[in-house]
Formats: sequence, C-alpha cells, structure tokens
Amino acid sequence: MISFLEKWSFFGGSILLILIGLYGVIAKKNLIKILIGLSLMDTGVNVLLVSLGYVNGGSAPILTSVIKSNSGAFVDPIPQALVLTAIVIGVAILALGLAVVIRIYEKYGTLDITKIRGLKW
Amino acid sequence: MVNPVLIIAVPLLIAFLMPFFNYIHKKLPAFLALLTTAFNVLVISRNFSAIMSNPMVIEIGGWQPPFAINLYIGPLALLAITVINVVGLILSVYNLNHDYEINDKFYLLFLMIIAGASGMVMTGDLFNLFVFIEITSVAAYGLTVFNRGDSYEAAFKYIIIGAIGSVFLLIAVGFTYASVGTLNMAEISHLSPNLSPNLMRIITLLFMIGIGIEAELFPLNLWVPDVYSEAPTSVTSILSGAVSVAGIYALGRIFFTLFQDPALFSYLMIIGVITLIVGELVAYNQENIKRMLAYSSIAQMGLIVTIISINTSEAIAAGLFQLINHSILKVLLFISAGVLIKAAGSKKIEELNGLGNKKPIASLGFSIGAMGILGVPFFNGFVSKLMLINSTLNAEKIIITGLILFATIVEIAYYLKVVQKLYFSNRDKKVFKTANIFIPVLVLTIFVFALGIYPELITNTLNKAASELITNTEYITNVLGGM
Repeated sequence: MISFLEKWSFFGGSILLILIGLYGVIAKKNLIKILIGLSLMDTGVNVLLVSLGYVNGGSAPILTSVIKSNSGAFVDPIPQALVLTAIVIGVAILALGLAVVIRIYEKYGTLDITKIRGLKW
Repeated sequence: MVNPVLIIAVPLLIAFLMPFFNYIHKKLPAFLALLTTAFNVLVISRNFSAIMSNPMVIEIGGWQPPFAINLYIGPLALLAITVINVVGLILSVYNLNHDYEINDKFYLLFLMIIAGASGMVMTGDLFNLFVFIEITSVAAYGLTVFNRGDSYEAAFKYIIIGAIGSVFLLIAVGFTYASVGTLNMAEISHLSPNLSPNLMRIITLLFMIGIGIEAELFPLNLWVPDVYSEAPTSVTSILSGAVSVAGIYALGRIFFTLFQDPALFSYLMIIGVITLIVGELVAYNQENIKRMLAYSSIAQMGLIVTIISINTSEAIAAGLFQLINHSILKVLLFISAGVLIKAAGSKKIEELNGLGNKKPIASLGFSIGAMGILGVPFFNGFVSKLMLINSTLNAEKIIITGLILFATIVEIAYYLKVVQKLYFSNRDKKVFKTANIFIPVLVLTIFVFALGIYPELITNTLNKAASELITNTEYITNVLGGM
C-alpha cells in the first residue's frame, strides 16, 4: 500500500489538482475564483513535471564538497528547469489576469460573470 | 550572410528599450518599430536563397543540437517567417498613421509578438516552442486591452482560454520528455516511431489543445470573435495575419515531423471540417463587421487545417498557399474595415452604407480583400482555391471539394452584402475623419495581384515546404548530422 502510494501519489495528486483547477475555471462564476482555479492548474502541472523527473533516492544534481562525483543517483534536472520557467510564466499570466479583473470591477462594479454582459460569453 | 537569430534577438532588445526611447522623444518608438521590422525583412531576404538551397541549422551558444537549443530554418519556416515579418512591416507602416491612442508600450508588445511568432517558427526545441507561444500570447493579452471599453472582458476570456491551453501544452511537453527523454524536435521525431501508438495519440491530442488556441481551431476559438472585434486594428491584423500562421506551422511540425501517425490526420480533418462549417455559418449571421471577419478567419483556418490533413504534397502546398493568401487578404480587410468603422462611428454593417464615395481607398481595399477571399480570377485567392479543389479531387476527397465550394457560396453571400452596402446605397449620416491608409493598402494590393497573376513567384518554395513536411528524414539528418 505504502509503496503504491509512493509511486503514484505524485501523478495522481497532480492530475487531481489539474482537474480541480479545471472545474474551478469552468464552473465558478466569480472572476477571482476562476483565476484561483487557473493557479491550481498551473501548480498541478508543475508538480506533475517535477515528479516525471524524480529518481527514487536521488539528490540534487549539483556537485558539492560532499558529493564529489556524479556516480550516485541524481534527479533529472531538465524538468526542474522547465518548471522554473513555467512558474514565472504562470505568475505573469495570473498578474495580468488580476489587473484585467480590477478594470472589469471598476467598470461594472461586480465580479459575477453572469452579470457582465458587454460581450457574449 | 546575416545570422537569422537576429530576427528574434533584435525585436526583443528594441522592445524592452522602448520606454527609454520614448523618454528621448515621443515619436521615436513608432519609427524604431518600423526600422526593426524592416531590419527583420532585410535579414530574411539576405538569407533567402541560401536557405532555399540548403536548410539552415543554427546552434545557440555553440553547443551541438541534441544537447542544446538549436534553430532550424528550412523552406517551410522561411515561408512562415517571411509572412510574419512582412505583415509586421506593413502594420508598422500602418501604425505611423492610425486612429487609436497608442504609445511606447504598444510598440513594446507589438515587437514582442513579432519576436515570439518568429521564434515559434524557427525553434528546434519543444520547450522553446512553449516559451515562444507564451511570449506571443502574453503580448497579445496585453495588446487586446489597448482600446479599453469592452476589451477587458475579451482580454479576460482570452487569458483564461490561453492559460488552459498553455497548461495542456506543458503537460504534452512533459509527457513527451518522459517518454522520449529529449526535447530536441529532430531527436523526438527520430525516436517517436518506437512509442506505443496510444501514448502518441494522447500526446498529440494534448498538443492539439495547446496549439489549437493560436491556430483558432474549433472548440478553442471562443476568444477569437471577442478579441478581434474589441482589439485595435493593427492588433487584430497581426493576430490574424501572423500569429495564426505561426500556430498552423507549429501544428504542422507536431503532426507531420514529430509524430507521424496516419490515424492522427483523421482527428485533425474532423476538427478542421467542424471549424470550417461553424465559422462560415456563424459569419453569415453577424451584424458586426469585425466579428464577421473574425468568424471568416476561423473558417479559413479550418479550411487550411482540413486541406493539410489530406497529407499529399499537392494538398499541403495548396493549403500553405491559402495560408499566405489569407494573411495578405485578412490584413487588408482588417485595416480597411478599421478605417470604415472609424468613419461610420459604428461596427454595425448596416451603418456602413454609402461610404464607397466618402472613403474610396478603404472601400476599395475592402472590396479587393473580399474578392480575393472569394477567389475571383486574377486575385491571389483564385489560384489557391483552384489548387485546393484540384488537390482534393486528385486525392479523391469529393466531400471536401463540395465543402470548399459550399463555403465559397456562403462567403459570397456575406462579403458581397458588405460591398453592396458600401457602394450601392446613399449616405445621409455624418462621416468621421480617419487616418490615411494609402501605402499599406497599395502594398497589399500589389501582393494580391502579383500572386494572382504570376503564382510561379512562390510555387517552388511551396513545393519544397510541402516536401519538407511530408518526409521528416531530411529534417532529422540536417539537425543531427546522421547521428
């Protein structure tokens, strides 16, 4: 049981996070909650990517005074590099989205998408 | 020879220096944007013949391709960056004399879109593709709200759909890396035949969701009409004329070069056909001229995807020609429509009556664009439609031939409705003052007739690009050098 959890909890958990986020984006009516859903999706993908590159018992891929050679197990550094970039992009999109939400609130005085009918949703 | 990496690097550099130039002189950013895009076109033209004879692989930082990021410019990429940067140049000329309040931040984002779209086309690395798609989209989100008004809602919708798409794209990149162990496109296409077909299908569908946002494919194009109708004219034009080209290119790379599986083309064809039918039928009912053009743009993208998914070299060449024509014509249509909207003070087609005499250049530009889309002889659309119908008949896809003809009939109905309103009714309302768009309309009209009367100008490039898509062995050996 424990080994099963160890093996699959990262994948299952991250996919669950993505699905929760997707539900939030699709089902919620509040603009801020939609953006929270988006943020959850981003986090889920980042966890998924990191877990794809995880090696059991591996250490960080850096040579230090303690780990002098690359003979031991290292986790894959490339997904981590991808996740760093993805986090930055996600934050930028979230900030832009919140800025737009502020403008929408100033214009309509509400955050409920069912009450904002300037365009067809 | 000038290094083509400058096509990405120079616009990015100048883009972030824009606030500084604005500080020196208020007029400087507009001219610098023009100079930068002109520089890009110059770089491409200097390299054109060299790339045509021999695809160019550029190693960034001097590391060999499978270990680091490389750029790949073959005939297909050359065609796409030429379209993107020429559209960018024409729109920079248009931006010198415009109807909107725009400042240095506009040019910052404008140059970022050009750099991002060029990067999407030239890159040879999958994650790099993701980054460039995000650069393009984030710049597009920002540009959408430049008009204020209802544009915030359009931008919010675009951000939500775009962000969901980018999540799926990232999952696809992650799965590809986990299953193949590399992010270099050439190495992926070398190793992908060993993958299990089901895994390959899942990955490709995830990619289709991610890139379908840029390529305006059916379930993901809900943002298109809102953004196109609310964004400033030059933003709409660059999204329709340049970003969608990059989207189709990326889709082609994924489906043809990376994962070659015949079963996938039927998915692509179904999506394309649905996009085409929905786009044309909704366009017919629109009262807002910009929304009509947006749905027409969606329909054209559906048509191009359908044709490309037939997967014969003749059909791909025809689809690419249609893509180029669509860029030229839609830019012409959008800038003319922008001026007409400004002159009438409304986006409703009804309100445009009798502008033919008052705004002759914009009306003529719109009419030429409409004729081109319909495929009247001597216009570029005629040649590409002929090639489309020819290739579907040769591939024995009679239903698609019928669909193209049906789409043309619907297009005739809604485009000629506008042209008729412009010329055959009298104007009793006020006409507002507008910007002069003589130069961009003239240049685009020259392109329309040059390609319509003498299509041999680009058929050679088209055939080479089509053969590059059909077989990926040349791509692999060019990048990896027979490893």
